[in-house]
Amino acid sequence: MADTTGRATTGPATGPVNGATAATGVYLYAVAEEATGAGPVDLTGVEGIPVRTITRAGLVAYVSTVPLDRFGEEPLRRSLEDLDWVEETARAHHGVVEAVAETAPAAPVRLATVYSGDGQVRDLLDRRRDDFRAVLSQIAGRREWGVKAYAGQATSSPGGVPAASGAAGTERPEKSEEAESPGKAYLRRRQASLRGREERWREAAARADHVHAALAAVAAADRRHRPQDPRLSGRPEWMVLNGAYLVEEGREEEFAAVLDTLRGQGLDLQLTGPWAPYSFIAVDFGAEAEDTRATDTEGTR
Amino acid sequence: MTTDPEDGRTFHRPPDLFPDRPSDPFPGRMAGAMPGATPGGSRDAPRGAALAEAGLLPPERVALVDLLDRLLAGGVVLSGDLVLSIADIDLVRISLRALIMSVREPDPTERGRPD
Repeated sequence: MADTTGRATTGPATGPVNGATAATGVYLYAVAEEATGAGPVDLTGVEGIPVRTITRAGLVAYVSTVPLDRFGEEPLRRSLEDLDWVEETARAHHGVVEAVAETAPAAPVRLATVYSGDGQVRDLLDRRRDDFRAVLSQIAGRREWGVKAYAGQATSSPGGVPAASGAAGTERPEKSEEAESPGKAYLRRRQASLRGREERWREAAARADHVHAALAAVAAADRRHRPQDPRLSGRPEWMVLNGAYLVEEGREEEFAAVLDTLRGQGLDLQLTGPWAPYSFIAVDFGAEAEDTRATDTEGTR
Repeated sequence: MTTDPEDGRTFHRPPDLFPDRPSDPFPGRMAGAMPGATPGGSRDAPRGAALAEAGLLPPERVALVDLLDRLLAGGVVLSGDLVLSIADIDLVRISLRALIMSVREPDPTERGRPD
């Protein structure tokens, strides 16, 4: 908190300074190799604040000086409840990462990482130089592509609440057996419908596995994100694959060709990207790393 | 709304609300374009087209949910000497709750329900 070894940047926040609390923090976007050419210029980051660099140990950290009355822990907790803020911040963060990644291999840092001063960031680059180097060499010359697959049916997933009970009652088959009570008939139809849905789900999931395997075969690394909730994806269909693929730039054509061959086989495939390789540097540089996180990402070959 | 789309790149798709294209069950988009082409030859045309088409989207064209997948589940995680010590899992939960609430809220059909 009291570390102000960096330039005394007078941020816009000169508000309530109580005691030794510094009024600004250092928001970290990404760490890149020190570019041989010119890096990006005139970048603006979160809240429109200019982006500057901190260079150390052959690495460059892209940062903004941010007011702690908005980027301190408590204000951030509140802000994270505000979707507009989250969106603007995420897009600003992303904008910086993208610009940096275009000029040099860059390791994006997770959203909302704030240090108390430049000195801490320099210290980080010193201490973690080898880790950053390792990460950066993995992603050099590669870009991330996203492929999402939707199953055609606009129904809820098997685990979910069955779409209104009316759905089961709409089609009333003529009573083949007079003896069957309406209740039994309902249950039978209901079970059949559930079975059918589960079957369709399994089929779609198997297709998704196939798609993923085929794409992963062309990729240097792959990762499956959690499928997006329909409320977030904006699409009612099942999302059966939310994949990320780290692809050599020289193999992108091949990747696209494989993707094309996978289309029209019952899944709607949607491509996003190119992304900075966010999904492939989910590494925890924390002191007490929980190794649960990095495990599913280490598909790098 | 977002701050800096002016990075000088060119974008060849007009903005629309969702980058997700409408569902296309038969996206053999070149199908009609090559009446006499051999099956083998037909692959050359679309090669790379999908990537080119999806590439180079300006930052605000990226769907927020795709972005959050990556910003909240990817990237270098630092801890220790930070001003902030927001637990990772907290961040995900908070943000997604905010998202879901915002998706639900403006839906008038939900509010009009008798129950």
